[in-house]
Amino acid sequence: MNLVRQANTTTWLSPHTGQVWELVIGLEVHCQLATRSKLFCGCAVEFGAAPNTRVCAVCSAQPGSLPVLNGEALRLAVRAGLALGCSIAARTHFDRKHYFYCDLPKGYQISQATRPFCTGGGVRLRSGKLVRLQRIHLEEDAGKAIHDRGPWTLVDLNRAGVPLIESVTEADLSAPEEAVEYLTALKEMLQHAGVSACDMEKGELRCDVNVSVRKPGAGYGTKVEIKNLNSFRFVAAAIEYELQRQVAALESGDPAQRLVQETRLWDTEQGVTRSMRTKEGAADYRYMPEPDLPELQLPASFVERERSMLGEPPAERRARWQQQWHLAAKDAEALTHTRELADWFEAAVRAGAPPKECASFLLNEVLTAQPDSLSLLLPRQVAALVTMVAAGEVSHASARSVLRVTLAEGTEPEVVVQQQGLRMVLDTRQIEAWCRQALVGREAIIADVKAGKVAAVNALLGPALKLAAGKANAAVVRETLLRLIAES
Amino acid sequence: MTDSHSVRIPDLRNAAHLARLDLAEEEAVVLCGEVARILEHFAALQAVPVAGVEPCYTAVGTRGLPPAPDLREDNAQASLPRAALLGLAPQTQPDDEFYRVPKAIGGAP
Ligand SMILES: [Zn+2]
Repeated sequence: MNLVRQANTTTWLSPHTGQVWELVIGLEVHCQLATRSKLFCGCAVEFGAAPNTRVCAVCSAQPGSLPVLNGEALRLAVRAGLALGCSIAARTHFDRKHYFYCDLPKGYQISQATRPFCTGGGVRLRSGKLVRLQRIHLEEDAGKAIHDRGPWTLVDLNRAGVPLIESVTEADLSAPEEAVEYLTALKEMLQHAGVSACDMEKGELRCDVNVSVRKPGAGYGTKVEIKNLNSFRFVAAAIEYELQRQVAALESGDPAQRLVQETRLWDTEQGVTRSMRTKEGAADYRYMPEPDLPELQLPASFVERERSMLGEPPAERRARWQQQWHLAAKDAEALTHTRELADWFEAAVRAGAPPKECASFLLNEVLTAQPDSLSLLLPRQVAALVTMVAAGEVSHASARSVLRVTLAEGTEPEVVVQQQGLRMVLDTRQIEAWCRQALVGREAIIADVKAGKVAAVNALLGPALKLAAGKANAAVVRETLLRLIAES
Repeated sequence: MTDSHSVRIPDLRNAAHLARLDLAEEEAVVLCGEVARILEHFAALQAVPVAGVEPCYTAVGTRGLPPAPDLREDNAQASLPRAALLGLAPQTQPDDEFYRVPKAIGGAP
């Protein structure tokens, strides 16, 4: 079965039956909060630590241990809600979600059922479509179970109790690329608000996808949930696969292919989803209010403090830079890759750097010089250097070597320029002198240029610049050469 | 006991399964009667009119008191020695890095 996407729509045509189908997609995203310690105990949150070395009585559920909420996790959860335009509940509480699995030592997960921290809000896509959020709640992660090493299942509880927020969308998405755009925007907003590093390689962002198909205008079809996708590419591929599978099943009328509401897993190797074949009957989590933790009241001052930490949303920042500073869209995109980089760039512009030149110098020279460039430089140092280049006082090539010295030794760019005599010669007579010398004995080229082959002058550019020992501006030298030839 | 508080054996078995309790046939019969009596007490609670009364979700940090002050600072503290923790688990062998549990493939419910 190969459905055909209808041009500029989110509908697909089935070539065999002539029927038209659309997708209904909702996303649940688990995102790890950027805290130093776990949600209810003081164990360190540390990716890659030796197994079971970040575990205490609380997160291994020893009898008599009691949870105490990490204030920073609460603040970050509230900040996430604010970044996504949610309403923050003034009062909220935790619930126990019960199930038995070896990675969950208490036999329940502390989560939120009836009163999540955040409700409403959403993410606007470039098309203008709003992907509405149902809720965001705070919960603890489970441990890790390893099944493929010998006769036992092995359990590592380092991750048990790590703080997560789960954000749940309405079923507002209707194409794989919309899901990817939503996830990209969500990730970026959470990163810029300082809520999470969202490092997918470390499992800090994990997606569950709810997907069903229907004929346009019809009610919802039977949905399946694809769990634990750790890459946006897999999200798109899994949705695409489910579209084809579900339509084929519905159009075949074959009872063996009848769609059931179920959980499926994405098989990365084969590029297919597979049923987890869970026992029939919906999971019954027997939620109850967590008796070991108090009801939480969030005073307005608490919420407002987090609002002040949000910073400008990255999309708005890009738009402002493009409008006010005429940055290329591509550069604005690259410079908002992280909040840190975006703040750094703004600081350099505030220190007097011309924005466009500063953007390209940062992206093409500073960031490519070495991985930790930004931490070794001050924004005002880059501002000083870019300003000198923009004024024609320092050549691009010199700026690059000044940058190297400043990175290595911390010397101020102005001092390096002074010490190494890199300031450009702007004196017209001196430049003319170099050019005249470069023209000596090059009659053939002079004749070519006079005959209209202007590009021939480029052969003289190198020698003239060499005579100037890099202290002359190439464009000025070229202009001077052409003028001298014309006058000769 | 009214019919609404009667407990059917399959419901009881389901509840037992969710709590991972094994019930012998004769235990199930006895428990049916006992659970029905417990439900009768809840029925008495259900009869109290609570329309317009705000729910009380938790017995600690009760409404009316100032916001709970016991938020923890986000500082990492020492965890327990691994040997001590794993030593509490029944299948642990010397030098183990992981808890050993019976094979549990299929994922959490
Ligand atoms: Zn712990």
